Amino acid sequence: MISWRTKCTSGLVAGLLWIAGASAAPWEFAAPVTVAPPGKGVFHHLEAAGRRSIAVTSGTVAITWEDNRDGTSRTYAAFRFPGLEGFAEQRLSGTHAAYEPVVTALAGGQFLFGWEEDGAVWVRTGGPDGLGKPLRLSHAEASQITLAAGEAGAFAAWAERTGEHTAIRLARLNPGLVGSMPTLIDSAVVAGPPAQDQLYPALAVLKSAVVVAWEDRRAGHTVLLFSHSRDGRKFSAPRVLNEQLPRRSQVFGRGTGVARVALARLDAGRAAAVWLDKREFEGGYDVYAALSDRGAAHFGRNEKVQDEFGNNIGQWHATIAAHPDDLLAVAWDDDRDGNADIWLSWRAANGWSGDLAVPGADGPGPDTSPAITMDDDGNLHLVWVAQADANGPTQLRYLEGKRIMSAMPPVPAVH
Amino acid sequence: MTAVRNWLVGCALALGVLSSVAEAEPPDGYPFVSYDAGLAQARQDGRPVFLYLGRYGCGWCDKTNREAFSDRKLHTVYVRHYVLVYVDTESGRRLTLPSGERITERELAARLKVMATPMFAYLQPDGSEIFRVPGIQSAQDFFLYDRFVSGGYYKKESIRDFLAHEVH
Repeated sequence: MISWRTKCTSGLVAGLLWIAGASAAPWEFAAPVTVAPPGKGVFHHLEAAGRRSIAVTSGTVAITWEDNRDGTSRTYAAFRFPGLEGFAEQRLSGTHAAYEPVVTALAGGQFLFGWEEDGAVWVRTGGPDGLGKPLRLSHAEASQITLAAGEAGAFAAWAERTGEHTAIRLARLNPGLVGSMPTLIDSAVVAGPPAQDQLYPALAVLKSAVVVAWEDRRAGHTVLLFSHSRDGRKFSAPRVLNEQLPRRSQVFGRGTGVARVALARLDAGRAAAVWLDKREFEGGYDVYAALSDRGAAHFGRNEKVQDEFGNNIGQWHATIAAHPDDLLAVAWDDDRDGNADIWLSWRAANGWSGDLAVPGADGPGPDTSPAITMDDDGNLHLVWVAQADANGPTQLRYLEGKRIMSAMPPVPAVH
Repeated sequence: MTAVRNWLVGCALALGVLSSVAEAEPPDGYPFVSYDAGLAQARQDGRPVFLYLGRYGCGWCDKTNREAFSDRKLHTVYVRHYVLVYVDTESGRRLTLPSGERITERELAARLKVMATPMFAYLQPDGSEIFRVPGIQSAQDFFLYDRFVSGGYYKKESIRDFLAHEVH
C-alpha cells in the first residue's frame, strides 16, 4: 500500500495536482529486505561517483558499499539471485582502507566493480559465484571511480592527479571472462590539462558513444561539464550541463554551487543527467535533471525534479535510472517531514511527477543515500542507508518496485 | 592564501588523507586546518572549535571573508580563542567524526543540514556543537558570538537569549 504524504503549506489546487501526478506511479513496491545488518560501531556508506551502487543483470541484483566492520573501511558486494530474498556477500577490496565502490552490469549475470584503495582506483569482475582478480587502473593518486557498460564497451572514469590538479581520465576495458582479471584497452584524459580540479565523474554508455560528465572548478565555482566520445580516446569539446544564471554579485564570489552529477542511459541514443543544484541559494540544494538529444552531443534545458513541497528544504544524494520504454526515475533524500526519507519522482506526461515517499524507505529514523537502477523489464531497484534513529547504527536496505504500467508518455525530444 | 593552502595540503598528506580534492577558501591569513586536525588539536588544547562551512566560489563567504575576517582585532581574538576549521561543503575530502565514522566534507554538510553557505558553528573541544549561525556575518557579530562562547554564557542560556540582552 502506497502511503502518500500531503502538506498543508500550499493551496488546494496545487495539492490536488500533486496527488493526481503522483497517483500514476509506474511501480508497486515490495517490502524491503536487509542487505547489510546493523552492528555496533559499524557505519555503512553508499558513496559512489555517479551513485552507481546497484546494478541488475539476468535477474541478479548486485549492491556495493563500504563499511568499517573490522575497524578499517573496506568495500563489499552482495548478490541476490532471481526469486530469492536474501543477499550473499563478498569482500571487494584488499588490505588497505578502501572507499566509494561502484558497480555496473555486464552480460550473462556478471558485474564489473570499481573502488578506491590505497590512493588508486581498481576494478574487478565477478558475480555470485566469485570475483576475478583486481586490476589497478590508475598510476597517479586517484579516486572517485565510476563505471558503465553497453554496446560501445565497458568504461571506467575517475579523478586522477595531473600536476597540481585532478583530471577526469576515461578508460576502455575488456572485463574478461569469469574469474579472470580485466584488461585495460586504453585510457585518456577527457579534458586536460586541468587548470583546476575536475571531480566526481559520471558515465553513460550508448550504442555508439560514451558520455562523461563531471564537476569542474575552472570557473572559480563548480560547473558541470560533459563530453562524449565514440572511441574512448577522442572527446568532444566540453559543454556546460547546468545552466549558468547571471551572477548575483559582480564583486563577491564566482557563482552558484552544484554537486554530484549522475547519468543514466535512457535508450540506445539518449542519456539523462541528474544533479544537486544551488541556483536558488536560500533553499539548499535542489534536484535538477536534463535529457540529451540523440547521440548525446547536447543536453536540453534544466528541469527541476522535486515538487514544490521540497522547495524550502535541502535535497541530497540524487540518483537516476532509466529504461528504453521512456521510464525515467530520480530518487534522493530530504527531511521535509522532519526526518530524512527516500523520495522518488518519475517522468510523466506533464513533466516530473509529484514526489513519492517510497513506502518502506520512509517513516521513523533517517533513510538516506539512495541508489537506483532499472532492469530489462523496467522494474525499479533501490538500495539505501537506514537507521532506527539518528544516533543509531546504520544498515543497508533494499526493495524492488515491480513495474505495473506498460506504457509511459514519451520523453520529449531535446531541441 | 598560498601559504594557507600549502599548509592545508601538508596537513592532509601528513594525515594520509587523499589530497585529490579541491582547494578550500578560508579567509586569508587565518590558520584554518582540516576537520580531523582541528578536532585533534582542540582535544589536546582544550580549546573550542570555530567551524567554517563554506563553498567553492560562494559569494557570501567571500563577502564575509573580505569584510569581517579582514578585521585585525577579530583575527587576534579568533586565533587566540579557537581552533579554526574550514570545511568545503562540496568537497570529497574525508574526515573522521568523533564517533569514529569516516565521511566526506560533503556528507558532513548533509548531516548538518547546511542550507546555505557560509555557515559557522562553534564546537566544544570534544566536537559537540554549542551553536551555529548561517549567512553573512560582520566582525561585530563574530565578537558577540565570541563573548557568548569564551565568556561561558552558553552554559546557562541560549544564543538567542544572550543576543537579546547584549544587543538591546
